[in-house]
Amino acid sequence: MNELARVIWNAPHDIYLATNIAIYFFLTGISAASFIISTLAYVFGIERFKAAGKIGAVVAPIALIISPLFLVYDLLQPSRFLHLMYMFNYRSPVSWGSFLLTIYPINCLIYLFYIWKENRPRIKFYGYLGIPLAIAVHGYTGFILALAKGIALWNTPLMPIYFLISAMVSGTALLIIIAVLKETFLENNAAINRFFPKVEKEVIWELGRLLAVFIAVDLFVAFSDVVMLYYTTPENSIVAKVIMEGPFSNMFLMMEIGLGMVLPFIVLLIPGLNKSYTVLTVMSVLVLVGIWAMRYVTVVAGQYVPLM
Amino acid sequence: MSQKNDEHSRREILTKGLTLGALTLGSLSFVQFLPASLQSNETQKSKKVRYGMVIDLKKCIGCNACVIACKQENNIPIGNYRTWVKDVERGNYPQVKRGFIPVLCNHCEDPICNRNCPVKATYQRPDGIVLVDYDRCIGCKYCMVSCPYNMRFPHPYRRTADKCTFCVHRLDRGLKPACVDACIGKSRIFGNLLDPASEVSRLIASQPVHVLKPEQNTKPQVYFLNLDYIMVEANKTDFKYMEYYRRNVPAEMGITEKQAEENHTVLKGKCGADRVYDSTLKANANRVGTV
Repeated sequence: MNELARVIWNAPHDIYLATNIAIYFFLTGISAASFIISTLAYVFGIERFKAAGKIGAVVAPIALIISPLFLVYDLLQPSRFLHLMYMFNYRSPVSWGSFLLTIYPINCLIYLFYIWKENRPRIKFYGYLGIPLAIAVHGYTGFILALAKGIALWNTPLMPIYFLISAMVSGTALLIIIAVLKETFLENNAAINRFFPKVEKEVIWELGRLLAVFIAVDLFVAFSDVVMLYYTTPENSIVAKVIMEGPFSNMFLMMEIGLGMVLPFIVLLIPGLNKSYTVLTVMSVLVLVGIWAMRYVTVVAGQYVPLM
Repeated sequence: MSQKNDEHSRREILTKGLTLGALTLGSLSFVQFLPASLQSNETQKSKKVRYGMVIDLKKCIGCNACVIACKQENNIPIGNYRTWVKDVERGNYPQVKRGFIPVLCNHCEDPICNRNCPVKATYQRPDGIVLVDYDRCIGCKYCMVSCPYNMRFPHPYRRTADKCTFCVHRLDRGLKPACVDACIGKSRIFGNLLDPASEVSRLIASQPVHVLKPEQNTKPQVYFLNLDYIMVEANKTDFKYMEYYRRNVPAEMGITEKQAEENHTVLKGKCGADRVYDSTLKANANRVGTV
C-alpha cells in the first residue's frame, strides 16, 4: 500500500516506564491474589483451604513489601519518594497508590499475626478489611495505566479488571508451585510443619481447577480487549497491530496467550494430567511466565507507538 | 565582671540568633510544601491574560530556527526537545510535497499531566502556562506517559520532568518566547487569547484553526492554521520507522552520553534558563505583560 505521508524526521521518543514498573505490577498482583485466596479459608470459612491459605497469607506481605522498592528505584530522584506521602493529589492514581501501598502491607502483617495467634474474630475482621484493600492495591495499578489517556492500549475501562483477573491467575499459580514444592521436598521438616500444616492432595487439585477457571476468565477479558482494539479508533488499531503483528507479537501471542494461558488451560482440563504434581508445577510456571509477559507487553507496547 | 557580662550577652545573641535561624528555616521549609502556584507572586499579575499560540503551517519553511532558539534559550541537552519540527513528505512521486509541523507543549486548558501528577509538581498559572516545579518533582515519569502529545521528557541532568514553559522567564519580562522571536517566516504567532485585539484572537476568530488531538479533551491552546491531519498521523503503522526513531540521538550523532554531559556542563554549568538572551532586554525590562 502506498502511504499518503512519510515522516522524514521526528524527535525520538523514549519508553519511559519499563521493566521496573512491570515487575511492580507483577508483584502487587501476586500479593493481592494470595491475600484473597487466604481469605477463602480464614474469612469465608472454607476449612479445606486452611493450609494453602496460610501460605497465601505469608506470600501477600512479602510480595508487597518488595514491590514498592522497584517503584522507588524507578524514580529519577529516589531520595524524593517521601514527597508522595505529604504532597497529596487526590486526582492522581499514583497518589492513591502511595497510601494504599502503606496501609495494605500493614493490614497484611496484622492479619498474618492473628493467624499465627489463631485469634478467630480478629482474623475475620482484618480479613474483611483486607479484601477491599487487596482489590484496591492492585486495581489502582490498572487505573494508573487506564488514566494515562493518550496511550490507546492502556486507556480502556477493561484495564483494572484485566489486571485483577490476571493477578488471580498468577497468585493461584504461585500458590500451587509453593504448595507442591513444600509437599515434595519439605514433607517431613518438623520446623516448617509446625506453622504450615500439610496441604492435602485434593486441595492442590482443586487449586488447579480454580486456576483453569481464572485462566478462562482472563482469556475472555484479553479477547474482548483485543477485539475492541481492532474495531475502534485508528490509534487503537495501530496498537492492535503492534501487539498482534508487530514487534510484540511473539511475546503477546506466544508467551502470554499461547504458552501462558491456552496450553495450561487445556492441560488442566485433561483428567489424568491435572492430578500429577509435575504437570501442575510446570503449567503453573508457564502461567507465571505468561502473566509476566502480559505485564511487560501492557506496559511497554503501550508506549511503543509515538504519540506525536 | 565585665567579661562575665560579655559572655552572657554573647550567649544571648547566640541563642537569639539560633532561634531566629530555626524559625526562618522552619518557615522556608513550610513554603516548600505549598504548591508552587501559591509560592510565586508573579502569578497574581493579571487574570485577563491567557497565553496561546497560533502556528501558520503555510508559512513554516522548516528551518528549525525555533528548535535551536529553544535549545539555546533553555539549555536543553542533546537528544531532548521542548519543541521540534516534524518533517513530513506528503504524496507519492511525481505528486510530492514537503510539509513541516512545529510542535510544542499545548498548555492545555485541562492538562492531563497536571491532573495525574502525584505530588502536584505540575501546576498551571492563572495565565494558562503549565509549568513543572523542579523542587517538588520526584521523577515518576507518569506525566510523560500521560501527555497525549509526548511533550514531556526526563531532563537527564536535572533528573526531573521537563517541558516547554512558553519561555515564562521571558514573558515575565515582557518578551515573547524564544521560538516566536526566532521564527523567520512569522509562522509562530504568540499572544493573549483573552485580548480581542491581539493577533492570535483575530486569527482564531476569523480563520479555520485546528488543534492537535481534540478528541483527548485536554483543550489545547496552540492552534494550527492549514493543519493536515494526514501529515500529523504519518507513518504510524511503520514499525521499522518507529524502531529507527527510538534510537538515542546522541549515539546516532557519534557522541557518547558522557561527552554530551560534559558539553552541557561546560556550556552553562547548570540546568535551565538563567538569562534572557535578547538585545531588547533592557528596553523591555519594565514593560510587563505587553506581549
